Parts: sequence; structure tokens; C-alpha cells
Amino acid sequence: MIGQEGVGERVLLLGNEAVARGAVEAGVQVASSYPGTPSSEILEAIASVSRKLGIYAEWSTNEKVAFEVSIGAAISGLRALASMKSVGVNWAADPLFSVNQTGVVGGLVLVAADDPGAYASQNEQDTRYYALATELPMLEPADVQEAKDMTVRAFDLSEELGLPVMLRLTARICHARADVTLGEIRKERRQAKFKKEPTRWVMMAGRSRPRHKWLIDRLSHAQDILETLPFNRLEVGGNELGIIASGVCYSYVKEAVAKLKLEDRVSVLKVGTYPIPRASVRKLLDSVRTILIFEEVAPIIEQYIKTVAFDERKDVEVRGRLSGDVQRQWDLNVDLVLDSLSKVLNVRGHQVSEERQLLLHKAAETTPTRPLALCAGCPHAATYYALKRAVYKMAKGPAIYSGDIGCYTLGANLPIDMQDTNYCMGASIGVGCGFSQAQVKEPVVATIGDSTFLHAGIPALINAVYNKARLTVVVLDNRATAMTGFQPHPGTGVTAMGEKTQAVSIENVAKACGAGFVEVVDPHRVEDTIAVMQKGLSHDGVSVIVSRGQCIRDVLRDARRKGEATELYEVDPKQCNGCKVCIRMFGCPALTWNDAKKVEIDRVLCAGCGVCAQVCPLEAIHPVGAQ
Amino acid sequence: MNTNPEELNILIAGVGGQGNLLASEVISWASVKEGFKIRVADIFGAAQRGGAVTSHIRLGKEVCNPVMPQGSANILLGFEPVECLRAANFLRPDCMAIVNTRTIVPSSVTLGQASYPSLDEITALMQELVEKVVMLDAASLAIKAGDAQIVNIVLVGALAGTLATPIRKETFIEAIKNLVPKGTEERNLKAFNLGFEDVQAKLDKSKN
Repeated sequence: MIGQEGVGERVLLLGNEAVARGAVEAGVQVASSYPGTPSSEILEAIASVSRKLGIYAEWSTNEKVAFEVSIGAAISGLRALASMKSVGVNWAADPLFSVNQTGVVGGLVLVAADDPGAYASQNEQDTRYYALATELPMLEPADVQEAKDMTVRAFDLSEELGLPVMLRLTARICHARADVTLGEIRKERRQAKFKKEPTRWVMMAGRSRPRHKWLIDRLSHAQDILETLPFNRLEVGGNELGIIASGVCYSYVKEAVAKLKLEDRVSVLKVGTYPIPRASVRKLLDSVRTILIFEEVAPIIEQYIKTVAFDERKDVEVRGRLSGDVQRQWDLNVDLVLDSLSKVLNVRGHQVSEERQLLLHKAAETTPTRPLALCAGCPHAATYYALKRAVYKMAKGPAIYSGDIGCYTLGANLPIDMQDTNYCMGASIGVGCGFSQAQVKEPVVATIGDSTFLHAGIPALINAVYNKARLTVVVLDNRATAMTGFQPHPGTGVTAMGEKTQAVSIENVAKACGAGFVEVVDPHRVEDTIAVMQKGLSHDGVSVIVSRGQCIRDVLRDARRKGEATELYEVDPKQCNGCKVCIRMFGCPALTWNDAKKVEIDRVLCAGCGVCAQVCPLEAIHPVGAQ
Repeated sequence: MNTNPEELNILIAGVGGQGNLLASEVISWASVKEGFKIRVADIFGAAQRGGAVTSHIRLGKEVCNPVMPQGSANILLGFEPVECLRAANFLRPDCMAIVNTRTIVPSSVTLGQASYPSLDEITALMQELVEKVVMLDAASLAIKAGDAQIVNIVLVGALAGTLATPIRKETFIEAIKNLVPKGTEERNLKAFNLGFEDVQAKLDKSKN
């Protein structure tokens, strides 16, 4: 659907697919990204039509590189798009704070997918601050259709201004589906041509000053253009209250206003651009005395409105996250908007009878929590088990486990409980160096995934060797960027466009970084893995153990495709004495506890990895053949 | 069957890995094919597996917001029993709940930190919460269709079998043919039909 012709046709698109479609309609020629929820489907969708439409698409090693790839293409005159999750923009921030001054030739769009509520991230940072800090224009869609339309417009705008343009999404837009009306696909394919101009492209000491002035002039011009775009809209109803909403909050406001029948009592300003449309804000300030703002997550519009009100000498009450009329942190939803609106306007909201409230309370009390867990058959669970045993044998106590970003972060949950810190991509090794230099008493073990190691682990590993840290690095290598949907990475030997390429060897990289002990293990061979880990832990210096086992989801998918059955395992109830070692030390989700106080294996969940059979001290778990 | 509703809210509640997102896509695709305006929110965290996952599917004339307010689901498509209870806040009292009886025990229960209610207890609570509850063993039907993994399509069949949506059976079938992996169409259609017939039989029985 991303590449299909058919102007005016209505199709079902995911928010991220709509952005991809927008890029295709705009004639994008280069797209780059590093996977991260909620942004991953953008590049996946572009890559799926890349050959057909003559687009180059890549998974880059990290977001900084991804953005630099797009910069290179855009300053050569091509249209380019880099997409990443919120925290990925922190990586891309370094080039972002220079390319704002050089500007671009071909349209350059940086898509930042935020995660208000931090459902799939280490924080709920608001990347709109990056647009403010870099003095670049930003667009923010309120729905899926607008996500597509804005992407197209962002490319034109970028070329009109000669500036990169940011597109800010949130998870509720990225992962929304809606009917979208398609536009025309631009067929123009430009020939790359880089014009040398050292005073512009070479940002070094002394060259920034005139370019910063240029940037500020461009931003002022951008403000004039943005004022006229249809993405900002003042819907005049009544003057009891002025509501300002951006992003998905606008759709919450629309529904809440209709539900409370406030159409004639309030006026709504939809904000879709940054800088914020000053003329529309002035118009709203002229007609109301109170303004209520719904935005995710930071009070950015709220503070801006206060500035405009001050400049315009308007005596208005500005309410929102800072005043406590909207919750200060986290994502919003229509129920929260209904609450805020009914309180501010003193109208009756939706009432739930006391009887039903009691019933809902009972339902909530009866519902057990469902912590995220590593899958049945996950090689990481086997690695953690072996590591736990090896540490216990060596140190007679726990290690400090500096953790990292990926599926294996779920090792923080019980029963594994082996992630003592988690900050950002690659921090396991950096923070591990810190523990080592601080001379903590416990052994220090950094756990990091394959894709994360290649993304951010290498400079930290070099640091560990260079500064003589005593550290064991366990690379949990499952041959995929699994958490975000099994995207390939430089270690897999496949590109985003499905081409075979040189696979980067993690163990060779580790050796080249100077690690004194480097071994590769198969975590499914439990005793062998424990033995190697013991050696690594006793190494006086930096040891790297690559624990390599393909992601079980990939293994099962391959087996299904080939029509192969999976070997299943069973607990012999006569042998099981209910010691629960398998549940407490290993904790595969397929292991359950039955009424007879024995362990049982869930046959639908069991992936046949056979690790539990090696864990059971009574050898009570046996293969029962392929099913 | 209300063929042109003002607004119809379908909530899918399940556990990551059950294929609920594909079910959401099939229902949404079929809705668009039928000409409805549609807004859908797939709500899940970072993990591919194991956590609670919901999809809000909203179709109708004026829908603009993908996330439904509490107390507004007309139909619950429950992939897992306790996940139905977790979604209770979103259900209208006159909601129809389709509940897959097959449980997926969370680690909190296995580790003894929480308890999993009995199926009888869940059924009784669901019957108090909503007007109509249809229970079915979708996992067994999926195995009967030849693949334990296609519980999701059995449940799409169950939804179609209620005749409570304005989407025609043939449109669901077209959506499935379009969206399931190539080569698996036959077993998926079998799964759809098994779910469809199971619910039809149950609804007929409750009428008599």
C-alpha cells in the first residue's frame, strides 16, 4: 500500500506507514534509521518498496549515523528522511546542532517518535525541546492522515527554507490505524550533486557566527510560512474558554467537547507547527479570558502562551500542566481531558454508578499483574541462568550487573533479577567501567545485546581496555534487533533492503578493542557456558563473552515456514519433588505450578529449547518428541 | 446486524504474542473495505511478548480519536480470561464479551506473588459486568484448524459470528486472505470458520 498508485483512494494505514507513504509521495530518495519503538515501522515500510521505487533505505548502526547519512544525501540535493525514537534524537543531537546552521539543499526531514508515558522507553522526554533548542521548524500531526500530509509538506518546507524540518510523532499517532486518502507519488529522481562551499558546510571555529545569524533569519521566515499552513486551525465556538491542543490531544479534545456538548461555549486552537502560530494565538487571546492547554508531555505551548500574553498585555488565565489543571507528567487520554474540562468549566462529566464502581474495583482486585517476561525458549534466559550460576560459583555472592537497552533488560524482572542499572544504549559498559574504577567489592558484569553493542558499546569497551577496568562484558547475541521487531543489524550480514553484506564479527571487534579474554558460547549448552563464564569472571582485566543463540521467535518462525515440528519437553511428576529450582532460578514462562504442587510445562508455550531439562537438579524433565 | 452504526467500539484484550495485532488489522482492514471511517489504537509496550496488549477499534460516522473513553466498548474480543477483567473499565454495561477460555499464567502467579482466579470466578464476574458473555475455547479450535498459533483468526471468526458488527462475513474473509502470511490462507480460513460456527451455535442455543 505504501507504494501503490491511486490518487484519492482510501486505504488503511498505520501512523508510521502514513509517514512512510508521505515520504514516498514527496519523492524521498534516501531513508535511514535505527530501530526503536514507536518509530521502527517507518523505515520498514519505506524499505519494503525501496527497490520498486528507486529509494535507498538503510538500518544504520545508530541514530547519529542514520541522521548523518541523511544529511549527506540532503546536502547533495536529494530528499532524505531519518526516523528514530525519542531517545534516538539524543544521539542525533550532535549533528542536529550543526546542520541547523549549514542548512540543506534537498529536503531533509528528521522524524522523532516520542513515547509519552514511557511505555517502551527509559523516559518520556519531549523532543519538541530539540526544535526549540536548534531553532528549527517542527510539525506535529494530530492524526494519521495529517501524519502523511505533513510529511509531504515537511519536504517542501525544508527546501523552501533551506533548513531541516523535524516531524514530531507520539506513540498514539505512530501506532494508530486509520483510513487515509492517498496523494500522488512524485516520480522525480535527482542526480546527487554536492557543491563545495567551505564557509557553509565546514562548521568550525569562526564559521558558526554568520550561520547562526542566517539560521535566525530563516526561522523568522519559517514563522511567516507556518502561520498560513492548514495544520494550525482556530475553531471559534464560544468565549467561555479557549482550548489549545496539539498532536493526538487535539482528537481527545474534539471527542470530549462533543461529549460534554461544549461546542457553543468554547473555542479550540489546534496547534500543528513550531514555532507556534502567533497570529492565531493573538486572535484567541482577544476573545477569551481563560485558556486551557492540552499537550504531551512538557508545558511548551503553555509557557509560550504566557509569553505572548505578556507581550500583548493580555490579562488571561493560562491553565494546563503547570497550573495543575492537567496532570503534570505522563500521556493524556480522553478521560483525563474530560476530567480537566468538566472541572475547569464546572460541568458534570460522565458518571459511573456506585454499584458499578464497586464491581470495577472487584474486577481490578481479581486481576493478577502481568510483568513483561522473556519468551519461552529465549536464549537470553539461558544466558542469565548460566551467568548467575557462574557468578555464584566464583564470588559466593551476587555481582553488580550494569544493564542495557533491549529484550534482555527484562532480566530486571523476577525471577531473573540481574539488571542493577539501566540508562541508555551502551551504558552497561560505560557504567560498568565506573563501578570498576570506584573499586566496588562485587564482580562487575556488563550485559549488552548484539545490536546495542554495535550501536554504542564499542567506544565504551575501548575505554574499559584503555583505562584498565576489571570488567566482564556479556554480549547477549540473538542475531537480531529483537525487541523492536527483528530488524537486521551489522552483525547479521543482511541489509534493510534484504541484500547480503559483510557480517561484522562481534568477537573480532572485541579482540581488536584489546579485550584480553574473548570467547563465544552457545547458551543452550548450559554447563559449557557456565565453565567459560567462570573463566571470564576470573580474568584480571576486560573479558568479553559472546553468548550466541538465535532469537527463539526467529527459530520458531523458520520452523513454521518449513513445516517442521518443535521438540517438546515434559515434567515427570514422579521425579519432580516440587523444589521449584527451575521456576525460581530460570523462570521460563512455559513452566507452571500445578495443584499437585509439581511443575508442569505448558505445551502451547514450550519452544523446545531444552534448557529446563539441564536446569532441573533431579533430571525430571524429558523430551517427548516433536509435536 | 446494524449496518450503519453511528459509532461502534470494539476492544481487543490479550497478551503479547497471541497475534492480537493481526486480528486488529484484519478487523480494521475489513471496516475500511466496507466504507467506514475508522480509528484504531494498538496499545503495547516495548516487548514482543508477555505483556498485556490492547487494541481499540472505533468505527462510525464521526470518530476522530483512536483511544476510546472508559465505559464505551460495545464488543470485547477477549484473547485471555484475566485480560478481559483488566479491560473492565472500558466496557459498557450492555457490551457483548467474547472470551477465549484458554489461560496464559503470568509470572507473578507462577512465582506465588499473585493468584489466578478460577474460570468460574472470571465468568461470574464478566456476567455481572456486561450483558452478554460468550465463552469459547479458541486454542482447541486453532489446533483443530491445524495450527495452535492462529487463535487470533479463530477469534476474528467468533467476532464475525456474533453478527454484531456491520462487516459482512465475506469481507472478513477477504481481509484474512489479504493479510495472513502467504501459504497459510487455508488453515486461517478454516480457523475463521470454526470460530464463526462455534459462536453462531452458542448464540442460537441461548435464543432457544
